Amino acid sequence: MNKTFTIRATVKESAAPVVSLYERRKPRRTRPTVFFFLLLVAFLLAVHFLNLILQWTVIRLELAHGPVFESPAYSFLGFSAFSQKEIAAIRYFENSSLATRIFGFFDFSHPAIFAIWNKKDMAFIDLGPVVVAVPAGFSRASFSPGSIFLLQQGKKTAVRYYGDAIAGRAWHAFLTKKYRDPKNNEGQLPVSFVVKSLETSRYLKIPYLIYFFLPLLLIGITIIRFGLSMFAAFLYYVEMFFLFDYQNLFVKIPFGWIWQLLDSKISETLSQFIAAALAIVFVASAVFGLWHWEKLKVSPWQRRFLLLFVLLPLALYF
Amino acid sequence: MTRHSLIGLILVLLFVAPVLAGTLKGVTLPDTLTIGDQTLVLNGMALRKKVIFKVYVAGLYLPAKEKNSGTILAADQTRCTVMHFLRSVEAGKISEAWFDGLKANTPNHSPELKKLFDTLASLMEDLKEGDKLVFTYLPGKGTEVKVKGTIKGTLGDKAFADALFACWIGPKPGPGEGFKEDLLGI
Repeated sequence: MNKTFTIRATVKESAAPVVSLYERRKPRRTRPTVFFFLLLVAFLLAVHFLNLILQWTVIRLELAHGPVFESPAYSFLGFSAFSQKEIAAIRYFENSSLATRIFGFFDFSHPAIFAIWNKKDMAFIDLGPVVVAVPAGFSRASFSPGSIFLLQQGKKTAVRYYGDAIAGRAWHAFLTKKYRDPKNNEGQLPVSFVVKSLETSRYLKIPYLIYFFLPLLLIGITIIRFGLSMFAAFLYYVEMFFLFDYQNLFVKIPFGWIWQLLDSKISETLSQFIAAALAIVFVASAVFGLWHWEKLKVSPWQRRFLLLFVLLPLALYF
Repeated sequence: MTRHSLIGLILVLLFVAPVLAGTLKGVTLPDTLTIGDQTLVLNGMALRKKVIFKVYVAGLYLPAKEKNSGTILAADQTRCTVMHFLRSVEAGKISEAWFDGLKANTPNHSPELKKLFDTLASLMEDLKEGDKLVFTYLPGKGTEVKVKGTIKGTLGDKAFADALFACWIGPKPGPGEGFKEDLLGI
C-alpha cells in the first residue's frame, strides 16, 4: 500500500502543467452593478421623455385636426426649454381681438401645458383629452401624467382627474395635496369638463396601442432569446392593469377594430369580462415565468431585462 | 415566500367583489359603494315605470341613511345615483327628462345651470337593457357622469348637483312620488 502511494505521488510531481487556451485568456472584467443601474436609470428617463413627446404629439394632432365645440386659435410652441421667451410673452396677449387664444407647450414633467386667454366666461375649450369650461381671463391648464390636470387662475386652483384607473384616484389625492398651498390659495376654481373618448379619437388612442403591443413584441423576443423564465416579464401588464384604464388598454383600444368591423360597439360587461380574463392570463404568465425562474439558472441579462419590464410601467405612467 | 405573497395579493385584488347587495326587479346593487376614501350606503332602490313598461331601477347612495330629501340636498357631501336600465331608451328621451326635471324642481335656475344641463344632455347615449348611468357628486369637485361604464366628465358645483338630484328626490320628481319615497326608504 505504501509503495503504491509513493509512486503515484512521484508521477504527480513530475507531470508538466497542462495549460489550455481557456486558461490563457485574461479574466473578463465584470462591469460594476452601479454602471448597469445608471444605464437603466438613463434608459427609463429616455423612455419617460419619449413618452412625453408622444403624448404631446397626439394632443397637438388632436387639436390641429378639429377641436370640438368651438375653434379657438391654438399656437403650439413645443418643448418649453426651447421657447422660454415666447412663453414669457404669453401674458401680454390680453388685448388679442380673438375670443379665445391658446398657447400649448410641454416640459419634462407635463405632456401638455396650455396658457389660455379667454374672453367668454366658462366657455368649453378643447384641450386634447378633455374639454374644459374655462373662466374668463388668463388661465393655465397643466396636464400631469396619470390623466390629471391642474387649472390655475390667479391664486385659485383646481386639480381634476379624468381617467378611470385603479391607482388613479390615489395619485389624484396626492397631487391635490401637493398643489394645495394654504398660503397661496384663494380657493377652488369651479371646473366642469367633458372627457373625450379614446376609442373614437384618431390620435389619442395611439399611446395605448404602443403600450399594449410594443412590450408584447419585446417580451416575445426575450422569451425566444432567453427561454421560459422571461414569461415573468408579463408583470409589466399586471402593473399596467392597475396604473392605466384597463378596459381601454386591454380591450377597447387594441381590439376595438374587431367590433368596428362587425359594425357594433362592445358592451361594458363584455369589455370588463375580456379585460379581466386577459389580466388573469397575464398574471398566470408572470407566475409561470417566476416558477421557471426558480428552477433554471438565470443570467444577469435576464435579471436586467426583467427589472426593465417591471420598472417600465412607472416610466410610462409618471 | 415574499414573491408568493405578492402574487397572492395581486390575485386577491383582482377577484375581490362586493358580496352584500340589494335587489329589485332582478337588478342587484351593492349595499355599499366606496368612493375615494369614503363609503356610501344604499339608501333606497326604486323602479321607474312608464305606463306598463319598466324603464330603469335606481339606487341612491349616501354617507348615512337619510329619509328627508331636504336634508340630503342641503348637505354638501358625497352622494351617488345609479340608474340600471331595463329596456332600450334613446339619448334624446333621457335628455328630455333632464330638462323636464330641471324645469319642475328648479324653476328659477340660472343660465349657467341651463348650460350645464345642455352639456349633460350632450353626454347621453342611446341605452340598452343592462346599461347603467352613474352620477356621483363629490364636494368641491362637481358631479361625475358615468355612461355605460365610461367616465364622460365632471360638471358644475353643488347647485348643479342639487338640481340634478332634485329630478329624483325634489318637490316634483319626474318618476313620481312613489319612486321618490322608495329612494328615500320611506
